[in-house]
Amino acid sequence: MVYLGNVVLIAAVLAAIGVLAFFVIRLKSDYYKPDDLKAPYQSLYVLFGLISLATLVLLYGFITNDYNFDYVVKNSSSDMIIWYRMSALWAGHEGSFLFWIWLLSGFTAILAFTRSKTCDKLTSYALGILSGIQLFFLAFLMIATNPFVVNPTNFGIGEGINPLLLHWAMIIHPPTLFIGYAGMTIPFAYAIAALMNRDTSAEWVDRAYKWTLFAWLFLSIGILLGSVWAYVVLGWGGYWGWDPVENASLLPWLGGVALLHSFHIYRQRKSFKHWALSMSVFSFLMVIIAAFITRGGIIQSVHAFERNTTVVGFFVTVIIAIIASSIYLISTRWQIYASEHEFTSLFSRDIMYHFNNIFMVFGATIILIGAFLPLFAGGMSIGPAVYNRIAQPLGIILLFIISICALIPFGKTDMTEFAKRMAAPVGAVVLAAFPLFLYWQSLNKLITDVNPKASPPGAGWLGYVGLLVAAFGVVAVIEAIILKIATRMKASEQGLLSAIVGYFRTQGGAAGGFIAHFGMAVIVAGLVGSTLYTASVKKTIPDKTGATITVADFQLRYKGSKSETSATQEKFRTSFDVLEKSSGKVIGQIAPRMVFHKDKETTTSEVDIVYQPQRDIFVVLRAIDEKGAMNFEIKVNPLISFVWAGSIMLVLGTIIAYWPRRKKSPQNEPG
Amino acid sequence: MEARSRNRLIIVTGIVLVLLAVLLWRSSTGSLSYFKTVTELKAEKGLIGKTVKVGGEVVKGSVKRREDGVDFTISDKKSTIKISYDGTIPSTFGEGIQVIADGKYDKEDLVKADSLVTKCPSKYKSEKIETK
Repeated sequence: MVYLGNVVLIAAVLAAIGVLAFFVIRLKSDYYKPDDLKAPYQSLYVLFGLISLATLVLLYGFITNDYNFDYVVKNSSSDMIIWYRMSALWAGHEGSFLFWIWLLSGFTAILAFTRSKTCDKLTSYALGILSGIQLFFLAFLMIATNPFVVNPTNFGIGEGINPLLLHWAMIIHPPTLFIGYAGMTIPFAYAIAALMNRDTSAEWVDRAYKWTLFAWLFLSIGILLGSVWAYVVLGWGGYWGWDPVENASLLPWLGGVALLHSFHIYRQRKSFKHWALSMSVFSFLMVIIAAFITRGGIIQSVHAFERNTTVVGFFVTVIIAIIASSIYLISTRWQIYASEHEFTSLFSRDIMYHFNNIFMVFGATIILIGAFLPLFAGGMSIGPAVYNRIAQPLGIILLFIISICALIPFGKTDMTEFAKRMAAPVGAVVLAAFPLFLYWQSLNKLITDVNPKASPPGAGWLGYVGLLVAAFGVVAVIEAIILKIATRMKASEQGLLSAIVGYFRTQGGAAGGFIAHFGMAVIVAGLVGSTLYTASVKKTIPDKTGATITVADFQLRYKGSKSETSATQEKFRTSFDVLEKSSGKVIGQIAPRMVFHKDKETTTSEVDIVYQPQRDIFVVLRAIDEKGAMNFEIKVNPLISFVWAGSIMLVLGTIIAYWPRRKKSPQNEPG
Repeated sequence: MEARSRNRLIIVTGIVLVLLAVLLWRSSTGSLSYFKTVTELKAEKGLIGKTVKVGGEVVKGSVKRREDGVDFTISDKKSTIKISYDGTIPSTFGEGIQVIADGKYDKEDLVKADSLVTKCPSKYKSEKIETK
């Protein structure tokens, strides 16, 4: 089977060369007719078929535990259940790269299929570019990270997967991100196609918009899944540690935010054309760099650099080629992509979009500096504290921009109208100012309540400002939705309910946008609580039923423990009632555990969490001494549920915006 | 484009960029740390008292858990150094695991870490766990 994999891979490379040549010849011919392109379009299906076959061969290796595959030996083992074995397909470099190419060729084939009736020029160019990208990736896969390497010893039972990774969120997290990465290639291909044809119409944006939204949606879900996993499994009490791998996934996401907003203005106002082109390139570049960071092996250890010269050489070449050709194309066509609507006022929605884009690019730049600094500056590095210090004020300012944006129009803002619209959010902030002040004080107090030795938070007023801005944002976005629906009711004399339904049905894009931005406001409130005001304390109790741990306003009452032994691990499970200190009411039950993995001789902790709307109580069993005394860490994470709730709104809003609509049905839906 | 409004936009954008740069500068000065191997760190006495990041493998038998943290020794196969860490211990921490400790290079043979990151023994994804 391994040999079959190699044969298919070679066939796929040859096919990709053929497809690319086919497109180039047909598009270059002087007698260009759309019908001539039918055949190249169909050849893309063949390419997709071959890459699918290669992927299936590898999958078959995992299903049948075929240890002739070196890749199977390294990423799977016979004692894993079948679903985990199948998911090991994307567990290493080689397989995940193959999986990514498979997704890319699938998306390309779907795009070819949906446009095969017209074979329009832009799509044909874009498909040609996409086949070129596939060829490049396939060649790289074969040369540098071939998944079909024969196991040299021809012997093995498989090394298995790290036990921490066997979690549902971690199993679907990588493919979700890869869907996003692969999808982000399509706006890039369309941007280059438009540039090559000097096409300044909005057609390329119309074709690429939904794909971009689709890709960005999956990036968001992927990042969210990764955070959930980190929070529930890793046991350090947080969900975002600013490590290079996490940061890498944020890069294309930030690029995508800027790209979607640029596309929006391009379609609506025929402006922001330079932004749209450059952000298409930027987002794709961020995908490549994200892959470079996670898969190139340069970041985790400075010394992996020498070992992966082929990989590094490939990535550096690709990155330089993309930057150089895009700069050439955009700069030589700069004039023809001038905006049709110009900035006339510094206080308009256009300007807010402009600064939103600048913030996104700035954020991505900081992450890039952070990722590559250790390589160039004698091992200097940026820690999570620095990222937090930059991200916290930026997030709050960004939310303020979003909120204002909901209240002002494109072009020129009528100041009296603006003042009227500001009344509700400003009023809400004034009303909420005092209650939020008390709440903010209680957050400050919480830290020393939980742990008397802890130092109070250094953030000062930032947290309070953040809460106020979040309240402002929530009200501003709600007001914007209400205004839209009210206008609709007046215009068509509809009732409230039918106006709401009608609004979502015909203007789902805008409605989804509002929900997503509402989610952003909720996320910021959650971030304020859960990054600035987490409190933690460590306590030791004897192994005696009824022993209690009292922290701030709650109490943990020990109910006993038990050990469970299996062939591979030994699990020590403690259980507690969680009580309200004042009333003695039981508010939850938890069972923090400690697991000893016999084969790897390591211990991992399995945390348990009491979820409350306003905070989480997070308990980790850290250590057990010879006498059986147990040491726990208890962490209180205020407002963390807001992060999850806001993220879900963001995802839902994006889905609503993506959902196909009847009236203006765009014809480029993927899937 | 009206030249006046374009110029105004460029000026405002410039001011915003300068403010962002100032934010970056203020947030990072004094907080950047140097990433070194154990051998490199021990060769640079000048870094004593500075914030450093050092990576290596946890030496077997060296781990001593305390009430507030853990003490252990890490090695890069050539040299070793002691790490004293206060904070939440990542669930993947253990002997033979690759870790990166971030903190003050206190004495010639000791780093007082306030952040400890473990690299999973997985090939799947080199997850790091940050603790603060």
